Amino acid sequence: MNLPYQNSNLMSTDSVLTLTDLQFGYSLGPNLIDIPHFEIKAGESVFLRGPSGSGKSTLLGLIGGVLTPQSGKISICGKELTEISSGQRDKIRADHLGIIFQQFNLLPYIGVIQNCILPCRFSASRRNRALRSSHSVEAEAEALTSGLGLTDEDLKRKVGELSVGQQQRVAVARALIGGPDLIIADEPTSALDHDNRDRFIELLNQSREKFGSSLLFVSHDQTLASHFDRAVSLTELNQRVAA
Amino acid sequence: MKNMAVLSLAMRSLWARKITAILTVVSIAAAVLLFVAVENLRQGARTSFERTISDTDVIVGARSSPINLVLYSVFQIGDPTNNVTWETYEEIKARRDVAWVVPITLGDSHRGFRVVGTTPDYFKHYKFADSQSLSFREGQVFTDLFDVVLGAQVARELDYELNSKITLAHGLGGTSFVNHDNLPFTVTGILSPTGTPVDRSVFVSLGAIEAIHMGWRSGTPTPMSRLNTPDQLREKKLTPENVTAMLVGATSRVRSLGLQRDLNTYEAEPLQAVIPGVALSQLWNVMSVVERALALVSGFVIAVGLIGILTSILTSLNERRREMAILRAMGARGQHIIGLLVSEAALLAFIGSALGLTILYGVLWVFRPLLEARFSISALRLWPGQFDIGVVIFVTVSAAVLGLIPALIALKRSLSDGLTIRV
Repeated sequence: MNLPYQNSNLMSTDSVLTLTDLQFGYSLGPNLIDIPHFEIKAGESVFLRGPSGSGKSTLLGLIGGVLTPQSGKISICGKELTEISSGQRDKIRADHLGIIFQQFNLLPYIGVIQNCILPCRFSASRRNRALRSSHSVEAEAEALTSGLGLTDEDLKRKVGELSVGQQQRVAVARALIGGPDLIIADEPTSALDHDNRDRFIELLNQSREKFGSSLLFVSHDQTLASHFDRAVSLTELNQRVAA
Repeated sequence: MKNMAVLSLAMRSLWARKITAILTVVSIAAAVLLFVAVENLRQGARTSFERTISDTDVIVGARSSPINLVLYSVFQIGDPTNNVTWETYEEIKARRDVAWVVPITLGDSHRGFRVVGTTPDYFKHYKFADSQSLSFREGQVFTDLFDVVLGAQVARELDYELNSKITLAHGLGGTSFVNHDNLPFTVTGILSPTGTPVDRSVFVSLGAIEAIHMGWRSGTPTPMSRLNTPDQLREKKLTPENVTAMLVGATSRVRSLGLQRDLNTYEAEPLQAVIPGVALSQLWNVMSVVERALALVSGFVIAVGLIGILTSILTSLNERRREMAILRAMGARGQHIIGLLVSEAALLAFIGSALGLTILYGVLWVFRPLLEARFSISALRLWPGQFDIGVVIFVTVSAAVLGLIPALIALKRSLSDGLTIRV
């Protein structure tokens, strides 16, 4: 990985994610999400503080295009999720989003490298971008994981034999492969101890800056907010009437 | 994402749950093996059944049911009800539309094998399979009054060779209290295996049947019966008064219907004439009840196997919720989730049914020499045929269709889970 490839040539004033008058609730229940406006610019890192019950999971489902809002707009890199089919939303997710979960990010039955290249299996554009800097997607995955401090030995081990910290770093490499526009990290540090937590966030920030990817980092832990360009509280953002 | 990629994920995912997967595959293999084996046996039984007699246009006996007549005259099963007089035999033989007649006399046995009294013409006119003639593995047809020709199975099971001496027993049962042990017979010929009841028969001349019953009254020997030595009997002219049945060949196939009608309305005595092909298919229909029951049972076993696949996948869904969420987050579409679970079901079924066929035909192949030694041409198929491939396809496709159930459940869950991993 000599020169990291840039994502889809967005200017820093362009937004990778825009939510407008977003409303969502399950058919008989109350509104869970009511967000008038929220935006992430290209290259920006945003800390979204969301305690449990603040509608965090629902919001991520909406941004990922798995849930559809009752009203309002979700736009990813200028593409309106509400105006396209679920299949096309799946494609947008594959092409533009890198997702890191709280834990258990990896499929246990395939190897570390195979886990890393999963997004390239579902997105041709990310595969092509990965091939711009390496001769194969596997080589790109190796470059990314070694950049995140994983040794060749680690790559040969089974997923279950890696420490939680190592697994989370593999998840970062996977989220970054093929340079998506927006990385969504959902409490990725909650299973890590304090020292590892800060190092993990620094690594994540450094790596995603190389690709020019924006970051939406969701956590309940306010102390992490200083690592990011901007911090937003979901409880303030979300206008839904409290039950 | 290419379909191969889904398939390779499905395979790896399955391999990670290999104990359940292997058990499921084994249950499908057993089900398919049973189903195909039953069908193969059924076909084999039917083929060897239909091969039993050929080129005989009409079988004639005393009036009873057509099936009964065929059973005792060809299959050596059941008892003849009555005899046909020698005069009738002569008259039928003299008819212009009759090319040949082979008389058969039953009623004696040798250690459980039935004795057929007949003429040397039997070996010329009795045909089986596709007009195949009987052939002698060793020796030749009987010429002397006390010569005997053995079917292949008789010789093999009782370990007889040429020139072995045997005695006949009165009656058709395995153990008889009345023996013709004063008049031993010499084995002069052993037939090659045919896969028909001929293999289980003991052949002597019509004269021999008369000779051993000389001096008998209504089925039991009188003191007179022991008076004659073999040489004295050879001197006598032994013309039978009755025969049990006759195999008749018409001068042309088209005449056999008219011949059958004439004989069924024969005035001198009540006769039964049947066309073997017709009677054989009637007989097969009687047996097809068993055949259908077997097919039904083995069909149910396949259904149980398929439900086993469904159960194993449904049970795995809970623990694989995370797997589905990860795949969805990585950009997997609904169709990929469906493809993953459907191809998993299809894979289990395909591997299982292929394994079942391999085991079945492997076993048949190993025992092939044994099967071929017993039956000149084995009626069993030794290689997978169209039917077997059809079964594999059917089982695989059914499993794929059943796989839609867990697939749709997983899809629905992955939608309600959003992009959150539920631990």
